[in-house]
Amino acid sequence: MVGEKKEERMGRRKFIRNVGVVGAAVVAAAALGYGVSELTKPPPPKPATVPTRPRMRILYQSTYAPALNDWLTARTLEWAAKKGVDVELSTASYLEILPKILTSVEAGNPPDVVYGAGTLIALMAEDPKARHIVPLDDVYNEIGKEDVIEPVKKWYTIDGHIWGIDLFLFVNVVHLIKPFLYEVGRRVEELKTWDDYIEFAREVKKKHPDMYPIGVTLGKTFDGVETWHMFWWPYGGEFMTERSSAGVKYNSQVSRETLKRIVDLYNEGLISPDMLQADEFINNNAYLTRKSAFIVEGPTPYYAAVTRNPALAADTLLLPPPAGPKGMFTWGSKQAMCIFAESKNIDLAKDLLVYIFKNRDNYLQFIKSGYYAAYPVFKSVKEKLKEDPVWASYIEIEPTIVDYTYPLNQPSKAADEVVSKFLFADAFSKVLIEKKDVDVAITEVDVQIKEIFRRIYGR
Amino acid sequence: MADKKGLLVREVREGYLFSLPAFLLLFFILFFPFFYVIYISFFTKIFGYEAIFSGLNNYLEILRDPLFHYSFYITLIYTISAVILKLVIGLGFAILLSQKFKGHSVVRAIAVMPWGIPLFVIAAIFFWFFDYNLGLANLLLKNLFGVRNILWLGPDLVVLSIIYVNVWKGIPFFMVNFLSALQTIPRELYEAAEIDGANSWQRFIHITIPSIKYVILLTCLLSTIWTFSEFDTIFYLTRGGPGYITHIIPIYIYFQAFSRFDIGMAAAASVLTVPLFVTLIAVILWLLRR
Repeated sequence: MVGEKKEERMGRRKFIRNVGVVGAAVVAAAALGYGVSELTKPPPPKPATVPTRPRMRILYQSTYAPALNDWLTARTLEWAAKKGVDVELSTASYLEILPKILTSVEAGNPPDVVYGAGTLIALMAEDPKARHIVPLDDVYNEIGKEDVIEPVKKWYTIDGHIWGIDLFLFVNVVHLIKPFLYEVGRRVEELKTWDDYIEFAREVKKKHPDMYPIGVTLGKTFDGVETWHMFWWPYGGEFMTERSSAGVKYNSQVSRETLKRIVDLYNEGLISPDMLQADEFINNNAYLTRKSAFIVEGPTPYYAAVTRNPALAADTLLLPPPAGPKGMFTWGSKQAMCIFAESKNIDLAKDLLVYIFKNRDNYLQFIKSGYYAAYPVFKSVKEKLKEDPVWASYIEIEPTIVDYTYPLNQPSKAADEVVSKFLFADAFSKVLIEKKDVDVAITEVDVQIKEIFRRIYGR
Repeated sequence: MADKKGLLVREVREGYLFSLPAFLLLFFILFFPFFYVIYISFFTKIFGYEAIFSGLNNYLEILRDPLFHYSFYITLIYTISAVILKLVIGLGFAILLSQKFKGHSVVRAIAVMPWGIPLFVIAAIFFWFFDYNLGLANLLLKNLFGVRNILWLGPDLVVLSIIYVNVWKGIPFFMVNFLSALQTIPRELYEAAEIDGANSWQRFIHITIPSIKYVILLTCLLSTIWTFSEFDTIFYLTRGGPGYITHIIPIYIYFQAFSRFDIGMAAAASVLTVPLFVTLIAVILWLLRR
């Protein structure tokens, strides 16, 4: 038995050795063959001196208006063809874009150019020791800095430099469905303030008890945060005056009144219960299915109506956001383009931005392709649109475009975290879901906000 | 003797040498990320910023965070409920489909289909299925029974709704495993029991269940691991809401990473779930050895 086993072991070792020998022989033969073929090969023709084409990686956020995406893609590829640049262009939805950017930065391999990094500008540029994007002052100068509307320049300015540029603004407007207005015998001129709209909503509710006339999102989403600001700012609400916890002004009587106002509207049945879901589509759908008499939203639902439901589009009026005693607030959602410092083609990247923005006629076509979904960032383009009767009313809205860091109106990493965590909308959930008192909800959110500011700014 | 020992040592050395490539591959794919997560969990690491050593601070902060406690609680509720339901329904279906009837192979094929659908597609399907105004669920209930619209993804029902989605997706996995296990039970056992006067319930309890108990355990444990770490469908359906009602652990980790922008905190939260997984995996390995 032992002898058999030993023989078997020896056989295996021998086999391995043989395999090794055969393998070595094969490798040696291959090496010999390669050497011989290399020696006998005719010398290769001298390569023509072709300069290597620069290569760029570009990441764009896809918007809800496909025409805008198409324009941006076409314009980018057109530029790449003209400049002889190989472009690797990818897109991501708004839910995916931030994780994609952040992980690529962490991996030390961000794209050269990004569109959709609005809430990351402060994170990428506020700390001089960790700046990952380059200032775009020269791009602004090239495309006409004076022509860019003021808020855009201000909300990307850090240490005297501008770090991002908005492709367009996503301004909130009222989408009012006219038949409801006529049904209750109202005229559009009567709707100016929140009080007017709420009164109108009550009248609609009387006629349609099963309906929820006001379409505003209360869920923990960017739309939910916008809702807060739309009700807060017009009544004098303020978020921050400086980059410190002492500069946070959230815990105020105005905040309590604002929260109570919204909660009362919900409890009165004027806002649909599904608006508490964390979903941006809910109020869009409320408009698209005529389940609300009006919604306040960036005009992509209107884009959807124009392209897919012309009857609804014809029944729609786009109006300025409802005002309060202080005026009206429009969240000019940040749709920033920026260039990463790690890029090996910074000059080319800047050239691309100039190409996208400089030709105002082309930019005008871009804005028009979005059927109001995109608000221009250039004063001159706004002027041109005013000449067009179809656009005049929308452009003349001339909304009060405010950054969420008001009254500071400058980028803030802490403010971006507050927004990314949807803490303003959290107050709605605390009262409507967790059944907490308005005062408790405001106090709790205030504590959370101040903790973030203290952690980030150390004071 | 010495020769024999030397030979053995050489063999062992060769064994290690041959398995080295596979080990290196596994190390870089599996172990390196795992140990890196543990390592980074001791740092404050904001995206794009230098990592700053913070010791156990991340762990302490998370353990003090009431939202983490709630997230852990709701994840357990979600996981346990979903696994129990999948077990019961999956076993029921498996017993049903183990019977011979006309078209049983077609029914089996259809029953397995949900398992093959990608998670994001399932999320999209149920997003519309549960929609308050336009959803198929409300449409059917309204037209068939005149029921008023139900807020499936609202505060009261959202946990049940996400459990429903998980169960819908997971039943085929249970069913297929149980079905294959049922087919290995010798018919003679049932025949003998029948002769001894055992009714169908007694046969089920005393023959079927003991015969497939390890398959049941293994399936449940695997499903527990997958359900506990479920992210895609819940994130797309509810994003952890309304409020924080469906803020399960994976969503908690996601928000630490992409709202607080802190990889260290996200890593620490992930590491805190490891003991649970290790225990489950140890049980699985023990079961597989039997």
